[in-house]
Amino acid sequence: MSLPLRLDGQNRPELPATHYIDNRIYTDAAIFALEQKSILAATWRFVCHESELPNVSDYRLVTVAGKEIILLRDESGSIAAFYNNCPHRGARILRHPAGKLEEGRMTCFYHLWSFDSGGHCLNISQPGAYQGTDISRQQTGLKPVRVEMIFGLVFVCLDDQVPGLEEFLGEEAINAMRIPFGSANLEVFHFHRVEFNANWKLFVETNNEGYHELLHLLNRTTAVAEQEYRRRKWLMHDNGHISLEHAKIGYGNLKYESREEDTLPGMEPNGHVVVNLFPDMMLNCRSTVIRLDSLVPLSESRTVLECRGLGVAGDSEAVRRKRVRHHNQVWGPTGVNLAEDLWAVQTQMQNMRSGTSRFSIIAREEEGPMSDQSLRNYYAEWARLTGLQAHDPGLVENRS
Amino acid sequence: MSMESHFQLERLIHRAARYLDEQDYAGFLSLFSENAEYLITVRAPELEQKMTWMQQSRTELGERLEAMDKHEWEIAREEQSRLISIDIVEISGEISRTSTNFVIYRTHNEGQSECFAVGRYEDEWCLHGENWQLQRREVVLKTRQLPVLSPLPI
Repeated sequence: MSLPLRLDGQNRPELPATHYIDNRIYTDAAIFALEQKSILAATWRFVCHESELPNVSDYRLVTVAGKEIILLRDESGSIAAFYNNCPHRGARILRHPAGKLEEGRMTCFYHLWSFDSGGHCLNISQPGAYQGTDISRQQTGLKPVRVEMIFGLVFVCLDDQVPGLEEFLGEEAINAMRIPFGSANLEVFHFHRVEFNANWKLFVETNNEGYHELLHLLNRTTAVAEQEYRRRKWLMHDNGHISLEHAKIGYGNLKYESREEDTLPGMEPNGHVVVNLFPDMMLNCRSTVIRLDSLVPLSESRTVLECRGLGVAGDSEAVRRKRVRHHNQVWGPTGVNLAEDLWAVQTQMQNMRSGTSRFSIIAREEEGPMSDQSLRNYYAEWARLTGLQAHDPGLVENRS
Repeated sequence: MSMESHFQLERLIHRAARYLDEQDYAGFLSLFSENAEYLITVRAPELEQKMTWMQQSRTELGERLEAMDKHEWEIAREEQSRLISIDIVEISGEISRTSTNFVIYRTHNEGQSECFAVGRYEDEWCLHGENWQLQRREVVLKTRQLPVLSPLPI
């Protein structure tokens, strides 16, 4: 009888295929290229909250699957999306991260072609030279991108063939989001980006598993010790989305201000709601305030994290100050937790790239939030969309 | 008094920078009055508004720094170097206001250095006896995308 192989990060673990990962899925450029096509461009991706575009002609630039997109509030008050690409010679049309269209039009700075908020061409400079071709103002326009919204959350999808947003989210995930997203008129008060040296999925995993909460002093002290918190389960929904059963947090255990007052509509005092949408979005509500995370993967080893903080539109000054304070305590660029998550995933990436870490274990079986079932569920959906197996992706060059 | 105060304020601003470089947070906090406030703010063009990234009383900041060793913060294990340029010193009786531009470099454990952040310290000082104390420091960051996040004062 042979002894089991030593679990040292390099030997393939003797576990069911669903319970470990070949770390090449984090480090292989060909796998990342396949993900861009089959996941990042082929699913509905959160890009902003509608409060970021409050008025007609307001715009915002976002990046999805490596492509820059203009989101704007058009003349009808709807949110529209277009590639930020002049159909003439490919220059970027808008160049500031956000703003307001001048006189409701976008003018390419290179040769001064201009477009209205519906993407229709308003002007081709000195058009006489195009006589004799099919080029005309009427036949020219910006390439639209699918955009849909739910509970004020704006999503785009680069694939024209996949079903709509509601079908992608599914009834269970939508119901899980309903409180607080469907019960209040929310607005964004915080936005920041941070670029880090790790594969995008490693950061997703920090949101999808509770075991790493042992990393955080805050969670060790206020949450992990709470009975109700320890008992709650991950709930698996269609298409890789998950949510956590609701629980209360003992903020007072860490000399933190209680979150019993000024809770968001529908939220319980000191309540906690987490909904993670496949492939890369987290909605996290700690009673009085919401954090939204989404990712802009740049390469297999470089990622931008975008974080938003949300409160209720029309908050009094005092309540808004409280929400900002609660947001900043845990999250945000000066919060006590986010810096720890980012450092952890970057050290993982360092070892995975060097080859000293070849396999990762996702084998925890338990009832509470520290179960790895949430990760196994994630990689089942990842496998469905990429056609690869996370425990053995094989030679990807032949498939992408 | 005014010239003496001017020199004292400049000395204190330089000392604050040195304390932060050396991670001497007890020294840094000693520059603040009891009811002082510390803020980090950033203008977000995406939201067309000023955001507050940190707002702490001296006591809250002290508690966070006391717990620093129980956290896993990359920035706490690196070295920093501040270059400052004191731009404005306005003294009016027992209150003064200073504005100081800064550039902060970080040096990784492996030895390479890079720019961490640029911005301004907007300070309000009050005179306690013969000594000026920080009543309010607002760190106005120009850098919106930090290369490493900072739960510590900047």
